[in-house]
Amino acid sequence: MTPATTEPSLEGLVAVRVGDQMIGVPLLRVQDVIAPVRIDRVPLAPFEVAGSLNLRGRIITAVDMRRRLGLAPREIGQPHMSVIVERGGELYALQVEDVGDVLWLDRAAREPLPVTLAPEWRALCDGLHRHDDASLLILNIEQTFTLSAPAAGA
Amino acid sequence: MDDVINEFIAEAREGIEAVDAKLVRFEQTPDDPDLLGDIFRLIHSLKGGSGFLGLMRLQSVTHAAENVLGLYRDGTLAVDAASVTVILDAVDVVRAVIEGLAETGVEPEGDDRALIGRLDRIYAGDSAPAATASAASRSLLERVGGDATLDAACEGALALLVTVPVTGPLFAGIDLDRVQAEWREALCGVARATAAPGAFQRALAETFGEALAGHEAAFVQAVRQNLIDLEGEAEAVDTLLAAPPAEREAEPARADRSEPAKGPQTIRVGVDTLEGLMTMVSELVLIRNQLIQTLRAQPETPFAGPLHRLNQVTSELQEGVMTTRMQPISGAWAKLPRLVRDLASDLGKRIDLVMTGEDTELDRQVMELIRDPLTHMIRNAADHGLETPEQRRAAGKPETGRITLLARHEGGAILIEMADDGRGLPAARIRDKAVEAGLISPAQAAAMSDAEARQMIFLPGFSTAASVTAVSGRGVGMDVVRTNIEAIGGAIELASVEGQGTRFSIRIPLTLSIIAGLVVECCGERFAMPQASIIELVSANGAAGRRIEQINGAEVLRLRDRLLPLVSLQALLGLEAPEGPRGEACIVVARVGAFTFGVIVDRVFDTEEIVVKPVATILRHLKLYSGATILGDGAVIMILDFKGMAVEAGAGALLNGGDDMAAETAVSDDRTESLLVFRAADGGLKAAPLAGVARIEELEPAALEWADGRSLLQYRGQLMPVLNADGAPLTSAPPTKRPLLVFSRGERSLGLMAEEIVDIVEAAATAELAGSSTGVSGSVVVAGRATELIDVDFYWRRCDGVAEPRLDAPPVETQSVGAFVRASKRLLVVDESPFTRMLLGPLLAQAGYEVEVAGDAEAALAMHDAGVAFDLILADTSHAGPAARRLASAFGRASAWHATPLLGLGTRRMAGGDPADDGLLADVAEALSDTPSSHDDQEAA
Repeated sequence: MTPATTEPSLEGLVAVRVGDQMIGVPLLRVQDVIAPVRIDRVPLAPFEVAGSLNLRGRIITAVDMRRRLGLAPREIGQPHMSVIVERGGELYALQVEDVGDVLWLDRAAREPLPVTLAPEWRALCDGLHRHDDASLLILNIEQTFTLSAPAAGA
Repeated sequence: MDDVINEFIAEAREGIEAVDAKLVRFEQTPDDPDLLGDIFRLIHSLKGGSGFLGLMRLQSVTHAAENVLGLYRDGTLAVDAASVTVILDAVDVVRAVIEGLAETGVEPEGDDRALIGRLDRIYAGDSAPAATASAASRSLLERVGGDATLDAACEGALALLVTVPVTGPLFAGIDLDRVQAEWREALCGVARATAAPGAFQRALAETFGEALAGHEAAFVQAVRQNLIDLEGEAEAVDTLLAAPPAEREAEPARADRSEPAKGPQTIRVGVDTLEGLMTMVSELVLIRNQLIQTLRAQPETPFAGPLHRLNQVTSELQEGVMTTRMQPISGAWAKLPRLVRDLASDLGKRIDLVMTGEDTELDRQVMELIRDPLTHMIRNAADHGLETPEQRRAAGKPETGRITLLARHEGGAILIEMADDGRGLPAARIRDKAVEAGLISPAQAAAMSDAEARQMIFLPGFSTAASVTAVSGRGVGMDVVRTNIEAIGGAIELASVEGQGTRFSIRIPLTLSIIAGLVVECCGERFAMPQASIIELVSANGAAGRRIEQINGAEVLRLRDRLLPLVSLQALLGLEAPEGPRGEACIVVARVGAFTFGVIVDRVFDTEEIVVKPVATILRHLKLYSGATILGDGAVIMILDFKGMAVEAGAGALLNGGDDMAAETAVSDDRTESLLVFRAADGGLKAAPLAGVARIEELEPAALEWADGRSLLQYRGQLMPVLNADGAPLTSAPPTKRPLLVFSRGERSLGLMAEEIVDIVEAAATAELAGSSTGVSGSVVVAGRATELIDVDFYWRRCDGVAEPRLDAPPVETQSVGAFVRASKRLLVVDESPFTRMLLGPLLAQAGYEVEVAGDAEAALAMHDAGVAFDLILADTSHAGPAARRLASAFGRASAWHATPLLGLGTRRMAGGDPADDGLLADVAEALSDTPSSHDDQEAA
């Protein structure tokens, strides 16, 4: 029914925007997209972790993609969305600026990352697609959750 | 096929667990037909199942065992220990085969001929004489072809009946294995004449009830045909399947009782399914809570009625789902009777195991976790606790020892008591063993009470057994038991009377997934704390003398004459204090192991039942959290882990050993202080006030650096001087890791290398003054042995003098200045707290004063009466109450001292080396300067 089953060469990506960058989140890992909800801070958590949220009785840890990508923090009151992804049986929320369409792109058309891309971005992405004259970075979910250790050891 | 095998394995495991216990009980009460019926049925259905699945090993063993059981049942073989042992051995083989099957999917290799031979010998040897007694019935059994044939016939008949359209629908929802077992039972019963004729028809009626009407003949015919096909004599088969005489319809209760169909109707449900259900119910509860909150805001809504019902139903649903996770504790106990029986025969002892409260239910997860500790404790009791029959006789006790196991609910927890009436724990031998093993010093051993000594069995590497037996005594044991129990939020206590027995009490939570949690607030954030570890809540608003004090930067609370180390949640979690004034601090006093400490929070809410959810993987490195939970308002909060907090606060070393004794002595004497006892490089024992030790680190020899005669260590981004206990820098790196006591003063740290940490003790601090230049500020009797109490200031001076002769060390300056200005002033310190005396005495002595200390007003008065005069009296006037009154009246009587200035020791002066000392020293100097010559005057007078 979906192109994924009929056309194995296509990969489904949920296009999201972080800052000005379009990023594709692998569709098969996405469980849900939700509007902003109350987020409770977790003290001592790694910098990238925005906090925990309660999605229908499940506790979900939210990762702020802006912080994860080393961008300036989102201005207070700025709208955002959360993409819920699954990883190792747990659910995580990726906070992004905006969520767009699901794109079906030809796997073969993937391009390698430009060597000049900052290392922290390179580590997070598997490649990029050219779509509507913009580059769409393909997010590596596993790498996204490999976070820096908290700053202070104590 | 796999499913069938799995089902078989699951059922066999369950059955075997039960059969052990039943056989042991059966050995004691051989005349209980129900019990035997159960055992027989189990072995029988195992045999049937294994035959069906082609498990030859299992089939042959169960067959041989069943033969012997059959003799018991017929009453032709007396139940004795020897034959029950062989049956138990057979059960062991069955268990092993089942486990092998579960692992690999095929029967493990093995030779059971010896076992089968033993079983057969019992069967043949004892059945021969009995054969005449029941010739008729036996011949009937033989004529139809024996047990195995009957079983096969039932199976064949069932296979046929299920597929036939007429009878097939009758089997909907019916467990075929069970039906087969029932039929076989019934037929065997008739064949052996132990059941009345017509038992088969009764079994049919019971299985199918009303639905049987009109089909009975078909069933009988199917079985009959199968039997005849299997070469049973037709005539005998007809006798066997004869319809019951009409008046016998309501046959004996006995047969009914033993029918498993009468038992509780159960189905097997995957644990995952239950967990999923549980999650959904939690979700439902949250939605319900939100709806109820909305309802409160709009009481007039038409939804009020349905919502109330929803509320009720949800609560019931939640409770119901909870109970599905609960299992009777007998599941964890099932193996114990067998264990005790085997132990008894291995050890040549007679042991009764009495179990009460098997029905007590607890969460299956918890049950899994207590199974091993319990087994271990039973082993211990049988091996070490109970005496041999001879010893017991000599002691005037019944020869048979008794181990009692009791379980009951007690306020949201389950209490398990395990007691034996054996020799009890010999305190003297435990002391010797502990000294031998180097766990304590002989002096410490001598100073210990018997009860304290017994607690040492919980120390790692401890065993009292004179010899290591196959059963126990390898010295891994009670410490693991305690660790396991504490790991699930439980506690274990021990009471023992020598010669009369030992009793362990274990208290564990009913479930791990829902706990009582205290919700607290700090800096506007909420957290939950596990209620089980909380001892009390104390408000530190200054009333009743309770106020947070600072000792060398460490916060403490003086609570009932003890100093309670405090950790601030704000500091621990790095929270930012909100704007504006904060409310009174509240202190949550908690205990981890034997370490008691207080956590400073801003506010305490209610205790709530919280559902514990695991911490997300990416946050799991945060040891301060043990889980997360969702509150009624939908907020997600973290559950704090007291152990993590204690470790984070620097008490890690405390938690890992030696804490038992501290706890014990603490109970015995409240007027003591915590001292960290360590061994210096020269082998001497030294003690440091625990409150002064900021942290205990492990000194990595390779990390040491030397610069300009100093030994230094990179520590938290600074170079920290490291000294030996004699105050000198290290001359070479130690060969292996060493504990390092870290003291801190403001931003700076100082490391003191110890050879080993010996203990944390609560010692009655009988401080005496000694020379101030040796690093010793007094001596303390720790466990009956004089131990030098180190003078932390001395080390600071040493490292300042040698390392940093700079201006950022105000304490050094004031003290050295003070030293020559106030050469021979005499001071008297009166304070009830040994801690204050220990701290102030040396401090003032260092500053160059002559100091006397008095523990109470009476002691001070005695000095007065002896004609001693002072330049200044420092007394703790902050305590309201009897102490202060005594002091006042004593000073009233001390007429010769009326001219002597008195300096009140408010708690704010309780500072061990901070720049705050300046305040006290300055006050002292000021008080003395007001009366420059009082000393001489009084001497003259």
